[in-house]
Amino acid sequence: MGPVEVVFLVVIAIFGAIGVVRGWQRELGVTTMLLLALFVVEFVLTTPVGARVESFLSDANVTDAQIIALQSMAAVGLLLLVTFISYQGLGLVYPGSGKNNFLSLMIGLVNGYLFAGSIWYYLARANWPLVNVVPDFSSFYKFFVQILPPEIFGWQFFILLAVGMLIIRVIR
Amino acid sequence: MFAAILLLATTMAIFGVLSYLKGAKWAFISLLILTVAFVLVEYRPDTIVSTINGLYLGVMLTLKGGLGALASGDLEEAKATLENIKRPFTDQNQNLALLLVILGAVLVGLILAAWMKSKPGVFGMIWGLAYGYLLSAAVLPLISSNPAATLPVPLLRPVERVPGAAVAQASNTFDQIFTRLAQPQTVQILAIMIGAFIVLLLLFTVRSGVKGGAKKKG
Repeated sequence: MGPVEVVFLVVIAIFGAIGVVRGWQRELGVTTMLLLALFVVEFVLTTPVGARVESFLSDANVTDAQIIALQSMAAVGLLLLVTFISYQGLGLVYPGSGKNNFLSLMIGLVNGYLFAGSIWYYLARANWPLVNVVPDFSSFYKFFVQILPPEIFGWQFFILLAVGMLIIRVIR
Repeated sequence: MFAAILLLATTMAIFGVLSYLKGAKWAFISLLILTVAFVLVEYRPDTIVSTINGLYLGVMLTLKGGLGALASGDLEEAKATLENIKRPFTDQNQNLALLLVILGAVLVGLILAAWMKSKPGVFGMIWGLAYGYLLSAAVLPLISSNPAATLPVPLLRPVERVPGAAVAQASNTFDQIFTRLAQPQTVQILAIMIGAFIVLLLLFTVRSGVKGGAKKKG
């Protein structure tokens, strides 16, 4: 087996390529949905809402490790669902004319970073449930795991940025 | 420390705005020039000081008639003239020479700004913010003896190892680079840069798209 970080880097690159094909106007819609999904996940996990869920699960004799695994799987599930709907279903499209491949690539890569980076973070947090990933990790892994979206941004960042984008979209 | 933060914020703001107005092309070229100057100052300070001293000695030797003495074969007189000329930069004031190099790079960038023409854009602003940060990181240690004024610069400036800290002895270059980048201080800076980049990229893209759409309708 190769290093796990390669998988996530490939996913980020694929999102960049998809961005070029779809155009930045559509990609911004996916970004907004991903930011909102991350806000929901982080808000639930890091505020008293999450603490209540944890205490409920603890009362039901669920161990701490199992709680973290459940939380992570729920977070990954939500991100996969939101991303699938954003790309496959009716998505939010931002106004704008013209095709700019570089800009589309950049927005696509940001989407890849938000999506793959968050899944990486939640799976690593739960000590890689369901998959066979074991230490010793590379120095790149140890570096990159510190700059994944949920690691460096709080729920405030996600909601403020998403709302900011929507406000700017509405104001003429 | 407050003065250092104020200087950093001011420099980043000034070059962010200037680069936004002058465009990404100019900002990127200027950043490259400053990066070269920064690397020279960080890794070859002695070479810079000796080169500037050498240039000064050469000019002064010419002005004081030393070249005439050399041409006539009077090496003793040329040597005496050379010995009478004081070197402008010594170990005590070598920071001044390094500061001159950094300011020279900034000057070249500003001259290019008057000459080059490109469209204003958000990428210019991003390069400009990076330029302001790098400039502050280069200048602050030269004008302040406070260790807190030494800003971390990923890859370009080696991070000082904290005694007792477990820093892995990386075996190859990539390992060394990522071990260096994984230092908490560097990660903090990178996190701020990633956040700022994402915010600026998304908000400016949405704004320009909305503006473009409104123009088309109008």
